Amino acid sequence: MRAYIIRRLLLIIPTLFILSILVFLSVRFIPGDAIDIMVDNLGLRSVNASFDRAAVERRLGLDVPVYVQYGRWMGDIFLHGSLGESLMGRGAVEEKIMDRLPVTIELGLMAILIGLVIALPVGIYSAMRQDTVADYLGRSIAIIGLATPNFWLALMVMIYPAIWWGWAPPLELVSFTEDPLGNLGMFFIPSLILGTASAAATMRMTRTMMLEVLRQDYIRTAWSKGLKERAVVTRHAVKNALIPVVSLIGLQLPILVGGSVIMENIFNLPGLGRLMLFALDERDYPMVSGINLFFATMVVAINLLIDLIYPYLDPRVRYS
Amino acid sequence: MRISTSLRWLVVVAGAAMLLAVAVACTETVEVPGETVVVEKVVTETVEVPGETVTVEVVKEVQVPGETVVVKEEVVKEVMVPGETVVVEKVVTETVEVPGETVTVEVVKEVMVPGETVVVEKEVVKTVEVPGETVVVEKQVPVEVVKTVEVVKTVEVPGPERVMVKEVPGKNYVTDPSTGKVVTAPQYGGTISFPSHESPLGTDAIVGITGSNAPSLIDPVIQKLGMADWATPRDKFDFSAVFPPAEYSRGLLAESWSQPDPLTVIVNVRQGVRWHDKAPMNGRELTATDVEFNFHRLLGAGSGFTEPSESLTYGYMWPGVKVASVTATDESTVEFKLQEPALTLLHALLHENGSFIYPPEVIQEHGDANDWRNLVGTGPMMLTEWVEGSSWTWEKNPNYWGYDEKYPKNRLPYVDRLRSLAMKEQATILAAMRTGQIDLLPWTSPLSSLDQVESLQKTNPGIRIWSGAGASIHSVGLNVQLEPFDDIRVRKALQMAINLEEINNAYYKGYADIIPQGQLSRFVSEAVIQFDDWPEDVKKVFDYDPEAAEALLDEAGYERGEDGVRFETDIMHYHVRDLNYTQLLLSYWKKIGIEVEIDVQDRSGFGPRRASGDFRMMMAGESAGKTSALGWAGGIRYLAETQWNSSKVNDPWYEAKYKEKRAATTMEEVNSITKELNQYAIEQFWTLFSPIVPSYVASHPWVIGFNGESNLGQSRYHSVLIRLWIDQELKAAMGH
Repeated sequence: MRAYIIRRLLLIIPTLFILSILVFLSVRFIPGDAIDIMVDNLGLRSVNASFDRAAVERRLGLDVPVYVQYGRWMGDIFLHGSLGESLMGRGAVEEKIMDRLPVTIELGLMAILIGLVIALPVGIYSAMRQDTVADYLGRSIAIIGLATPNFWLALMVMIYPAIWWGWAPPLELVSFTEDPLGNLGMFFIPSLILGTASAAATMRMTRTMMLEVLRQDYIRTAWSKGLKERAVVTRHAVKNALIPVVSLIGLQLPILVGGSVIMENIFNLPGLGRLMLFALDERDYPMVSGINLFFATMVVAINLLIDLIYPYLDPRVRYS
Repeated sequence: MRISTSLRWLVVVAGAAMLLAVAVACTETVEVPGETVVVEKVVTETVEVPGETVTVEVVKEVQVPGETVVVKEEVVKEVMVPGETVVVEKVVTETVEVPGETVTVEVVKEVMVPGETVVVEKEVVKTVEVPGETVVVEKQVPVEVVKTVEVVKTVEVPGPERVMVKEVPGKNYVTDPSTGKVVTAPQYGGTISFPSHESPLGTDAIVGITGSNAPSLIDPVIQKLGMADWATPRDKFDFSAVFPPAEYSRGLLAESWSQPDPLTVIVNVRQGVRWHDKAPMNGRELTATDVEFNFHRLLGAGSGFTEPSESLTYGYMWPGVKVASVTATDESTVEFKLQEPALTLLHALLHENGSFIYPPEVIQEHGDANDWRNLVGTGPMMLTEWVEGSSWTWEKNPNYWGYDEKYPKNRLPYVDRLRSLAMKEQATILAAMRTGQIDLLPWTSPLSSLDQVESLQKTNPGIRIWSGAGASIHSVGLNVQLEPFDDIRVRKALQMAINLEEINNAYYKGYADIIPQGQLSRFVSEAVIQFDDWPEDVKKVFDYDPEAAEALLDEAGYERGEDGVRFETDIMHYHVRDLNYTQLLLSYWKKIGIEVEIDVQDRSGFGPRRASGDFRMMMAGESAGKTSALGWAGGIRYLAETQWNSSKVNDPWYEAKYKEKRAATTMEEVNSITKELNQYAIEQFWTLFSPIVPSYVASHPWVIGFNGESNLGQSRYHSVLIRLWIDQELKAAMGH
């Protein structure tokens, strides 16, 4: 086990190295650069302005080749634990990430929670009553959930209730410590939308795994012992059926991160996704690269964590 | 089986509970003494007949659940009929059009006595046109939109001939001296919430790049030397231009000023102005030295500043204004010495962003005032909360020195709080407006289309919409340095192929202004030549005439090939503009044999390519500016040196003329030269004209004092908001 952990940790290094190159370069390949945006922002009456582009480039460290910029960025990360400074004067990237992270985490956790609350009961029930009306209904709803883009759903939720009933989700963030209900109220709708989308996949996986487990010999034995349905399902079937579902939740994390960018923008949540959108719009390279690297590291770390807890969930799994 | 049945029931019950919860969440419950009733319907109507009658009607029907009987009805009506004391019972205006054949305009006005149904006055005007000839039956009347106004009772107001109707006991009204309209009397308290597109980085406007959008945050906190005069009658100046004309400007931190000679300006700093009661300023009085310090900091000309601020290069001081020295000669007097005379000096001193007066002690202590927590000003509000990426809150400065220019006995500000919510998504902004989470959409976040206006009015009939001067947002810049656009015949042909009237009717639903104009709006009458006075051959180019366009192209040597195509080109489309419009233009040009491809660019691609000239055609989106001849639209755009030259013009005559304008010493001279510049550009067809489409802002009916004003000078958007007040009673009655 220890060897496995060390091997996995070592594997993370090249993974993150390749990721860092990708996130560093990708934003720089987008047409236009940060200084163009600055000029565009400022230049309304810049006639006669003696705008010294080279001086600004020098000041922002953009006057050297991209590989040198990458080297400096990596150096800052390893030597100073810094993801760099925002080109637009927003300050240290890691500080901004920490400022915005609680919102994104709250949104993500609520989405996962809502997704599970919907997916598990429906998936289990659907498997228990295979090929009944309830099963068809559950599966149909899951397919609709999978097929519906969450940005579209979010826009519909924002537009139509306001038109029909004069209602819209709250759009001003209140701190959880000041007003817990108000805070949860603001996160509920975007979490529900994100959670519904992830619930669809989880529900289908739960149903499939439950069906497989319900056909196992040990379940038949449980039935033949005369155990009640509830005991068979909860004590014997669900526990084993949910092991792959845990992996699925880990795999859904990047989707939740992507969804948060859209949800935070539409529902006015000042999280990391929204910060990234602003940063992208301004071509704030360190900010975009820093947030992307942070997201990537988080996904890698959580998937590693899930892999590591697998043996505890399923004693048949042994890492060597 | 039993479990299965129970589970099914559980699902049914859970579903019913969810539906019930949704229904409860979406229904507003109002407590009435003795019983609880549900507000079934809240209707607010605002109808305006410009310059004549204003009616605000709020109808509230409260119904008992399960019944259909109206148990309570509350009507609030205000009407103003200038010069009349009779009751206007009904005013109906109708417009009927038979395209291309007959146009009939009919205006019917019925004036009735309260309680009676007899028509005491009726006026009918008709105009009929027959193709080939015009027969006027009675007299011509301007076409108006159908409007219906109803009034219940009248009260005569002493003084000017004006009638006011009110049905709310105990409610006070005043006449707005700038519009003559009767409005709910000013009242203190409440919050004005509004959206913001921007994501400010700091609060020091003088620190260069990062301070570029600081003015959107600091306006109600940090003040300038001058501003537009809020008491100005709106028919004289509508507060849309960021550089108000001198006659409609007034001092803010400057009490007065004088110019003893062309190179000297003396500014008398207002006495009795105090900084906010916050460290390190602690409410001390503003002095001339504070003003001197700030200009020294901007110009790098003293008080320890040796280098000019980087912000200077971004236009924080008007080009051409060369200040030699700034000296505080005593406690309340500052003397500005110029290197050379400059007509725009007053604009620069009163309104430029460089004239924000920051607290010297804060700058000395922290190096700048970019951290909002350190911000101390002299303004009516204090920035008290900054939720990163979410909202900004300003609280009232209880010791503010200023009074409302319209109602000089009222100390400003009226509201306790301003709150700006960072919103990028238009759907979110509209939802927030519909549900009253924001009180108004200011000019910094206007409605972007007529569809949005109509949609908002449909769901919220009480919302008041204000249209602005508008711009020719779909005008097309032609790169005159490249073939074939270096040939004026080609440029004219492209314009002649566009059917402005058809675009107005089909695309803008008839709301656009299709009278051709140049960089300056035709409403800046002192600095433009009106369309009627243009040479006939120039006027003809704006008539839709594809045959003549084809003839011009033939003459220019661009004849149709075997495939019917004369030449192929492309147009750079800015992503925020409507692609449908660009496609519409393409369809017109295709008819005359020009194939155009669309190249969509976001701002990071669009700006640099415009600056470098890496385009053939582009959606320029800027013309018909309603500003003074000194402003941006006064000719700067076609100068070779500016990056905003969206036609890449480099014309020696134009350049020389503009230099002449800069050297002008009187406004008459400036206006005269601007006329020449504007007309020259029009006749060169460097930019293809597109209809002027108004933009719109909106406010809820409880926001009082707002007449669609944009700003009180450059970046002074929030200064408008602190002069508005909330009709709290009406807001509560409307369920907010």
